[in-house]
Amino acid sequence: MSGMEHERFEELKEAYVLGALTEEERREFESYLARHPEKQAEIEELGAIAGLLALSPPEQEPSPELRRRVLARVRSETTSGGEARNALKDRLGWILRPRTLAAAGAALAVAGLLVWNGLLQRELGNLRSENHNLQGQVENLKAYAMRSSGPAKGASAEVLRMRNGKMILTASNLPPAPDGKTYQIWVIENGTPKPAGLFTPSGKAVAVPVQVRAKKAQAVAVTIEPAGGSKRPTSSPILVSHLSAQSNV
Amino acid sequence: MGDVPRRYLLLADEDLISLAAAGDADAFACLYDRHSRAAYSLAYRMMGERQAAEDLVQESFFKAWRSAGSYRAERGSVRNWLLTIVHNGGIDQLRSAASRRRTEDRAQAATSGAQQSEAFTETWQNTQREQVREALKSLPPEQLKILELAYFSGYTHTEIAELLGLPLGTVKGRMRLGLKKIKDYFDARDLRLPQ
Repeated sequence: MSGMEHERFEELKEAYVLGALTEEERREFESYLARHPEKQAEIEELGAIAGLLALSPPEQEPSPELRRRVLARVRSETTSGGEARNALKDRLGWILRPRTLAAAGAALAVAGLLVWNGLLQRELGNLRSENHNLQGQVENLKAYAMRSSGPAKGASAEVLRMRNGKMILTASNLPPAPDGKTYQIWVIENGTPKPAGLFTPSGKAVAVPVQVRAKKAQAVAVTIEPAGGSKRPTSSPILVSHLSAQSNV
Repeated sequence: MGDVPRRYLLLADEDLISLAAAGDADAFACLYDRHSRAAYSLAYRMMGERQAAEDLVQESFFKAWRSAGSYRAERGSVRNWLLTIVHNGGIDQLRSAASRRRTEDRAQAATSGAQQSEAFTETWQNTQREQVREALKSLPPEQLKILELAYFSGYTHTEIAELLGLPLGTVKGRMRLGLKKIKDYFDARDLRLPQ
């Protein structure tokens, strides 16, 4: 394939991303690609499509023994606390410190609960009894940190869940949704994502009631969806919280 | 999974792979827990039996551990990167094997062992899997067969042409049309390609 023309590249690119070239063809194709970096993006996109095939096989559960073997081999190679590792941990330290997340979550929790408290006061007109109620809510409150990724990287978010199943999603530093898009909350129950409200962050922090009350909810997630929301999630979650995990408070 | 510190569960894959690149085995363990099922499912589909699939997964994750520093987020998700390592390793092994079974045999052996997971990530990935399977169902059988022979069984395009008694140009054309049809499936439904 030396001196391969553009037509030859076009002819072989599908076989390349499927892994169906011979070793010699593959080397020559990659040599062409190295000399034409402008083609890289096209191949990566095609490769992403071919890579979807990896998700199609029936699911198989790997054995616990395999996990033990893999991790034992990895740990046997771990050096005794390298400096690079410590430096990186320092850089990521703010994320790794549970107190950071707990503090951010607590601040947002207080903000959310104050709003809630005000509503309760108006409804019942008895500040003392409502404060008592609120104290009870706080005692029954559980906060679950959300893992952020993609566009939400850098945001802090938590799900606050009351004993009665009511939930509030709090988040800070979420970027605005792209034009024509919205943030959508999903509650996962019995393995099925249920739409649980739309929101658009305005300002640094946002507290949104989750519109599905699910005592047996397994997780809460947020995706970016077309304006108006979707019946089923159409993109990967950018915030995820597993409600089966231990609460932060 | 109890040996993974809880704080790692809050980190994105990209953070975990950065920590793994710096030698953090706990971060790598968390990545293993998130993606080993997808990796093993692919390995089992390619190798057709448990022991070979486990060996492939073990070698692939060890390779990922050693080359974690080479991961580049702009090239795709950590999951895709890991699955590519498994796929490439599987192709190598299939091609070096003295004898290999036909894809149909492996497909029959690969009975579903799916277990419902409580984890949201798994649920989400299941949704993505369903979308991918639906997309593949939309392909004409002759296109799907060629994609599967290439991707899962390690046959080169020339070998597929010989195996099926087709001109090489037909095999290439079906590969092209098959991949295009998968993309069209997602585009037509305004679905983002699973990352």
